[in-house]
Amino acid sequence: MKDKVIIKFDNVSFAYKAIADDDEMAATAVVDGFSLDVPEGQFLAVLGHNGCGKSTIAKLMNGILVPDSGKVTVDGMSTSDDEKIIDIRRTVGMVFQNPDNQIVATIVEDDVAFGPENLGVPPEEIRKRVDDALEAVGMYEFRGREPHRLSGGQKQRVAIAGVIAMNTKCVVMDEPTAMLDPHGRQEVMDAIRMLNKERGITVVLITHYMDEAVKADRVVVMDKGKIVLDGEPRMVFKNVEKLKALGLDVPQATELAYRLRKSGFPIADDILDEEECASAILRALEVK
Amino acid sequence: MPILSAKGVAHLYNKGTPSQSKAIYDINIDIEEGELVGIIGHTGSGKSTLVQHFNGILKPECGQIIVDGTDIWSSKKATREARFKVGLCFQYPEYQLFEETVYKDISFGPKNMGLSEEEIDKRVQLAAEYVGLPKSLLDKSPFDLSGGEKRRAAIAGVIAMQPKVLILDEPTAGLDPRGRDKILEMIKSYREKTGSTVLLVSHSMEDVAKIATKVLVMNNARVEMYGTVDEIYSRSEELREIGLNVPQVSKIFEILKKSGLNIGSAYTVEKAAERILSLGGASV
Repeated sequence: MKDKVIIKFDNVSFAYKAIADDDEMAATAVVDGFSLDVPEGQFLAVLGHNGCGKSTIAKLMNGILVPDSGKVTVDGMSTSDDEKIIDIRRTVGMVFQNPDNQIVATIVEDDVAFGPENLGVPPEEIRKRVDDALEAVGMYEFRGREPHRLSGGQKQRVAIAGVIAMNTKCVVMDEPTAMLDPHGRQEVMDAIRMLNKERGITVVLITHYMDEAVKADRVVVMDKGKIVLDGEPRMVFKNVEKLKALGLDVPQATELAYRLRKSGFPIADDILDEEECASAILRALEVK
Repeated sequence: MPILSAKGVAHLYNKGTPSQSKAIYDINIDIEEGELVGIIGHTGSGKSTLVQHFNGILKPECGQIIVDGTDIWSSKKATREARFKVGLCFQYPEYQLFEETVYKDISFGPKNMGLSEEEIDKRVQLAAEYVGLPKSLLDKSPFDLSGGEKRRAAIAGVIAMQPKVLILDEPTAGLDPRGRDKILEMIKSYREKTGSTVLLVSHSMEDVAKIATKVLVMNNARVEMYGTVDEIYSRSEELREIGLNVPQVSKIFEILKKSGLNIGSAYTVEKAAERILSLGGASV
């Protein structure tokens, strides 16, 4: 089971169509010949500057968008198959950037129950799932609260609970922490990691924060609708120049090591965190 | 004389109700002309409430706000003037764009100041230049711009009023790294070119380290610290206690120091590399 692919992009292209000034249809290719396999249980981070096609990829993952050509398969089901769309949405849940845009109910637990209610889950089962989902994201004590009185990080955790209450196997998150403060980001990241490690839920996290991406199993970097880097965080982040040219950040520890190396200081190029960086600097100074 | 002062300022939320609480209190601060002040503090610490007092959006419960030597609540005229002298750009200012064209949107502020057409045009062009918006975008609808461009158009609208103090409340929130760097670069060069005072509310200790000259730390509705970047960032233990985190490079330097390396401090990657290289050179 370990290597079972849950989301598969096979040579997918997609363009948004708009009516141009001369009444002709204008199409801008956003995703072009894109292929990607996401194994079940993986924590995948997707990086890329705005407009690189990340969000389009996210929307292709549960059939909000369907490919113009090529095929997206979710747990063996094609997203282009209208009959499968409900099952696909039950398999892959989405969490978006703005916490205020995705809460529908006036009480936290009602909001989390919204998904399973729509799936026609029996009431006793809904109760169980809602409690369980709220426990999972650390929001159980807030179940009777009004969502608009919660902080951004708490709202995002409620949104995540709403997705897991539908028993999805996979959660796709499009910059879920972009509008949060550092504390809220930490809460959401803790919830995401817990879902992935303890419940085996596949996570696709689109983010601009490198400190979040380094915690993933795998990092995919996109540019102009294509994958330009793909691998473990350590392997991806060592491409400092390439990432900077793409308008992306690298962790400060990686960047510091990169700058030192460029000036002839003997230090490895695959440094990710502060402990590693400090001990590498100490070693290099001793050798000298 | 400081350009901006708060003397014994306090503000209450839900005044007179059982849920009354202090949003900010005991605020005494002098900000000198030309500084670029980074304002940090966790959510709910009072950062936004504080800056909204500086141009008279909020009226303090007690104490005085003094802009350019005048208590802004001493007369109606003083309050009105403060709104032009201190330009405040809210969080996610792009949601406040409303005009048909970018040009009209940027000129809204100067128009309200009663300036001549000619002066308004000059200011709009200059403001667009400061924020790096090409002329070709001025006739477009603001809603056709990218997220980063919208943000810069909104900031241009405040800059066009040519305030003595520019306050930006989390101007980089939600942008990608490239958009963020453009805004930070823009703020830095704006201050250098105009000599204006800039207050920057931010959650990013890295961004503040990069461009600020002074740092103001808010905690539990009060000013916890005010000083240079060096003075504030060296107090990493205290910062951590109030829920703030120093940049990763500062942590690296802390570990190096604990290991007995006499290396000083660094809060940006550039500075850190410089320090380490100077050390490496000396020990060869």
